[in-house]
Amino acid sequence: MITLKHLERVYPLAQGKFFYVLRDINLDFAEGEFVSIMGPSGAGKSTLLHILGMHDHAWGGEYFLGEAAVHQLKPKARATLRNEQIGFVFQSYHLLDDLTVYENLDIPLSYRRFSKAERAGMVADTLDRFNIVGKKDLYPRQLSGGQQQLVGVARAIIANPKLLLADEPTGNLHSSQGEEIMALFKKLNDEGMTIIQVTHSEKNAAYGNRVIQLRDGWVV
Amino acid sequence: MTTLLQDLRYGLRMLLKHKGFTAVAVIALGLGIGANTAIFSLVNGVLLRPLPFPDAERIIYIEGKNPAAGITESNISFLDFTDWSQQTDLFASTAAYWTGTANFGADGAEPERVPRAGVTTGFFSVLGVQPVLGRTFVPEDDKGWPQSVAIISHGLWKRRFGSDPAIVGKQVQMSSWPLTIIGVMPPGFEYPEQTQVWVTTAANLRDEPRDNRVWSAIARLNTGIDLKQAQTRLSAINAQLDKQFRETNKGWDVFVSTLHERLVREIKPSLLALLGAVGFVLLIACANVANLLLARGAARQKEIAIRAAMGASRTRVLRQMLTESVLLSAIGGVAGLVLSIWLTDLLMSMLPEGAPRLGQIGIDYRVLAFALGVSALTGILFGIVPALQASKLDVTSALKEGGRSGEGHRRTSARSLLLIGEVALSLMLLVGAGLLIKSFLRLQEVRPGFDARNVLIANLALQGPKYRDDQQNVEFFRQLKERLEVVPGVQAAGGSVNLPLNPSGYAIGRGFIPEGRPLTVDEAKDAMFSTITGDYFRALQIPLLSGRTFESRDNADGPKVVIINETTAKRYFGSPTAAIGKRLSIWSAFRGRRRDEKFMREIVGVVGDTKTGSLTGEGGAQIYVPHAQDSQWNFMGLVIRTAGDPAAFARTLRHEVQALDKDQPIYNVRTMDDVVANSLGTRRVSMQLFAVFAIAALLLAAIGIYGVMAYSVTQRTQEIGIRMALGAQKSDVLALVIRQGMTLTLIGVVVGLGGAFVLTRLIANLLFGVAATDPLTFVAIPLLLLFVALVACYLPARRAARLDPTIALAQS
Repeated sequence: MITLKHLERVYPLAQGKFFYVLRDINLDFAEGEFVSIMGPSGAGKSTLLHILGMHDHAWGGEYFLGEAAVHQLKPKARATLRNEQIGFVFQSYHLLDDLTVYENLDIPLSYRRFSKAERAGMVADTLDRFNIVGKKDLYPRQLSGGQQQLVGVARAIIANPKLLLADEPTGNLHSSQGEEIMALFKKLNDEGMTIIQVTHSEKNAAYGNRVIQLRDGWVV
Repeated sequence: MTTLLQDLRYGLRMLLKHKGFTAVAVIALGLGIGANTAIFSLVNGVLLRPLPFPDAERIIYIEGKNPAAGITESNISFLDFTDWSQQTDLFASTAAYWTGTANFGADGAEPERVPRAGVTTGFFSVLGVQPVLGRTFVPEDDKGWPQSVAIISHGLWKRRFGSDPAIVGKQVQMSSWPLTIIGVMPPGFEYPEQTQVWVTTAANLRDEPRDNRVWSAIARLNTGIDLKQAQTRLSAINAQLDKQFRETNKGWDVFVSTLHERLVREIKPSLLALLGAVGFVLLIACANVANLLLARGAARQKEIAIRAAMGASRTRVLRQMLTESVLLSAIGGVAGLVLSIWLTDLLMSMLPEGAPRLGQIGIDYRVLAFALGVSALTGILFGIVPALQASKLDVTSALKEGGRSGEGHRRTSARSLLLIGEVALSLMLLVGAGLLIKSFLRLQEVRPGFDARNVLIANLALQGPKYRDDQQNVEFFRQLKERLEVVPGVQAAGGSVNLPLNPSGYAIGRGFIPEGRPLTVDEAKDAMFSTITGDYFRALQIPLLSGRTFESRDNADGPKVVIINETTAKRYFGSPTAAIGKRLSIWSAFRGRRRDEKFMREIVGVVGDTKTGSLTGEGGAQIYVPHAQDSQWNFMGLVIRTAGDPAAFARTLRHEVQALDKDQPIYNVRTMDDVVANSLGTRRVSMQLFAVFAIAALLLAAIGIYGVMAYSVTQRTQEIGIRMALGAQKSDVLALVIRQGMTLTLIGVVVGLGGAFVLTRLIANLLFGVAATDPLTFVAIPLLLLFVALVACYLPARRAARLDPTIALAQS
C-alpha cells in the first residue's frame, strides 16, 4: 500500500549546516497491516508519521501511496489524496474546544465533498458505532481524556480512510483508557483498515503485527 | 494614596517597557483628543462663550418675516421699530441700525474704506458698552443727514491715530463730509460686522415709508421678560399694524431670537455635526486602543494571575488596569492639547470669510476642562473592558496553563463586540460624509445662471458733493465702462447694484404690477431688483432669451424699459417671447422716499435666471432697469470680463476709476470664481472635515478589523493546524478567517445602517439636492466599507492559510 524510497527529512541549521531527522528511509507497508513505529525521543517517529499523513511536505525521496507517486503530486492533489485515504489520531486529541462532539465529527466531512444530508447520516452512524450518541452535544472539556480520544479516533475514521495514522494515541491516557483505544484499533484493523501508529509502549505495539524501530533518523 | 502612587509608578513603567504599544496608543488618542479639542474650541468660541456684553442673554435681535410672501428672514422697517420700541414694559432699551462702508479720511491722508454703522441713540445702551474715551450718542446728536459726530473703534483709534488721548473733538472726513469724533469704544468691540465707525442713523421719520425694510433692530429685555413673551407681544402689535397699514404691512410678522443665537444661526448646525463626527472618531480610536489593551491583556494573564494569587482583590486589579489606561489617555490628552492648538489655527484658516465670532475662538478654561474631561473619559472608556476582563481571570487555570485558558474566548467576544461597534460608528460617519460630499457635488453642478470664469468684480460707491446729482453718477459709470472696454484684454464691462450671489451683502427687493392690474399692494409681485449699467449681461454672460439688452437709447429721455428674467416671464407673462412688449409698473421705496414709479415700463428683453442670494436658493423673479432710467444709485458692483486671469486686472480697474476721479477708491476687489467658492465656504469646510474624519474612521476601522483578525489567527493557530490536519485546504482556512471577520463586519454594517438612518436626519439641513436617506449612499458606503474590511481580513487570513500544520500542531 505504501512504499518509501530513500526518504529524507532535513532541517537547515545556522552556518549552512543541516540536521537530518530522517535518513534514507526505505519501507513498505502492506494493505491491512497494523504497524507500530518505535524508538527513543528524537528518533524521527512523529516526523515520519506527519510525512505519511502529508502534513509535512519538505522532504526528499519517493513516497508511493497505492498507485499515486506522492512525491510527484502538487499540493492540491496531495491534499485531495490525503482527504480520500488517510485519517489521523493525535496524542493530545486536538478536538476543537468550541465545537460539540457532533460538530467535531462533522469537521473532516465538511472538507470533503459530502452533502449536508450525507454528512448528517455519517456522523449519526459514527456516533452510534462508537456508542457516544449521548455525548454528541457535549463539548470536549466536558469529556474525560479517554472519551476525548474516542471522539478523536471516531473523527479520524469518519470519512472511511484506508489508512489510519496515530501519533502516540494513548500517550495522554491512563492504562485502562489506553487499552480500550488499542482494542478499538485492533477491531478496526480486523475490519481491514491499515494502521500505522507511533508508540513508546511495547504493550501497545503488541496489538499490531509489525514493529519498525527508528534511531537517530535511521531504520534499525 | 500610597497604593495609587504605586499603581501610577508601575503603570508608567509598563508603558515605558512597551514603547511600541504606548506610541501607537498615544498617537491614536492624541489625534482623537486633539481633533475633538480643536472642534470643541470652535464650538466653545462660537456657540458657548457668551457675547462680551453684560447680561448678554437679555439682548435680542428682531427680524421681519412674511410667510405668505415666502420671506423667512428680513430686515425691518424703522416705523414698525418705533411702534415696538414703545413697549417699555418689555424693553429696557431698543436700537435700530444700518450697516455699510464709507471712505474714512483724516489729516489729509489717503482715505480708506471702513465698515460703518448708523445707529440710534439706544444702540450702546442695548449692548451695555461704554466708550473708553468720550461719550456715546445722545438724542441731540441725531440731526438728520449729513451726520456731524462719530464714534470710532479702539482698533481704528490705535491704527489711524496712534491711540491719541486727545482724539475726542477731532475732525475727520467720512465720504468727504466732516465729522467730529466724540468717543472711542473699548478694544474688541466692533458690533455689528466689524464696524470701525459708528454714526447716527440720519433717519427722517417724516419721509420714512413703512415698507422700507432695510433696518436691523436689537433690544435689551427688561428683567423677568423672556423671549416668548417678547415674541407674543410683538406679533400682536404686528397683527394690529397689518390691519392699520394694509398697503405696507400685509402679512408681515416679527421673529425674535437672542442676539447670540442670531449671530451663530447659520454656522451652528455645521459645528454641532462636526463635533458629533469627531466624537465618533474618538470613540473608534478608543475601541482600537481597547482592542490593543485586550491583546496585551492576554499576554499579561500570568502576571495578573500571580498578583491575584498574592492576594490582590478584583477591585485592586481593576484599579491597577484603569490607572494604566487613564495614565495612557492623560499622555494622549497632553499630546492632543498641543495638537489642538495647531489644529484650531488650521481650522480657522479654513473657515469662510465672514464666519461669526472668529475672534472668540481660542484655548480657555472650558477648552482645557474639555480636553481634561475627554482624556479621563477616554481612558476609562477604552480601559474598562480590558480591566474587567483582567479582573475576572480564573487564576488556577491561568497559572496551570501558562496563560492560555478559556479566558481567551471572553476576550475574543469582547474584541468582537468592540469591532462591531467600531464598524457601526465608521459606517455612520462614512454615510454622513458621503451625503455631504454628494450634496457638495450637487451644489457644484448648480448653474448660477452666469459664467463666473474670467470675471473680476469690485465695489464702488461714488461719494462727495459732486455726486449728489444723480446724472453725475450715471455719467461716471458710463464713462468708466467706455474706458474699460478699450483696455486690451477686457472683453466686457458693466455693473449692477445687486450682483448675483450677493457678494456686496446688498440685496434689493421690489414689487411690480403687470399692466392691466390695479395698482394696489395685493397685486404687487415680489422680485429681486437690479439697476444695471454698461454691458452687464455680456460681462457675466447671462443669456438673452428673447428681445434685446439695454442700449444707449434707453436713457432718461427715452421710453421707460425693463428686462425681466425667465421665471418672471413664464410666471406672469406666459413665456419669454410672449413677455416682450408687455408692460409693468415698479412698486418701490428707497432711502426713506417712496419710489413707486408712476409710469409703465415696457419689457424689452428676457434673460436667464441667476442665483441671487446663494447657490442653494431659488433665483425667483428678477427685474432689471437701466441706470440711466433709475439714476439715484451712486453705488455699483462693477463687473469686467477679461481674456486672461481676471485678478491681474485689479490694478487696471483701480487705475481707470482713479483716472476719472482720484478720490474714489474701489473695494472688495475679487474674482467671481472666489465669490462662487466663498458662497460654498461653510459647506466646503464641513464636507472636507467630515470627509477627513470619515477617512480616519475608515482607516481606524480597517486597522481594528486587521488587529482583531490577526489576533484571532494567533489565538486559533492550533485550531487551524488541526483543521488542516483533518483535511482543510488553504481555501478552507482562507474562507474560515474571512468569514469570521466579515460576519462581524456585516453585523457592524447592519447596526451602523440603522444608526445612520436615524443620525443622518440630524444633518438633513446641511444637505442639498440629496435626501438624508439617499439610497445610493446607503448602498455604496456599506459596499466600500465591506471591501475595505475584506482587504483587512484577507491579510491575516492569508497568513493563516500559509500556516504549516506540523508547526501549528506542535504549539499544543
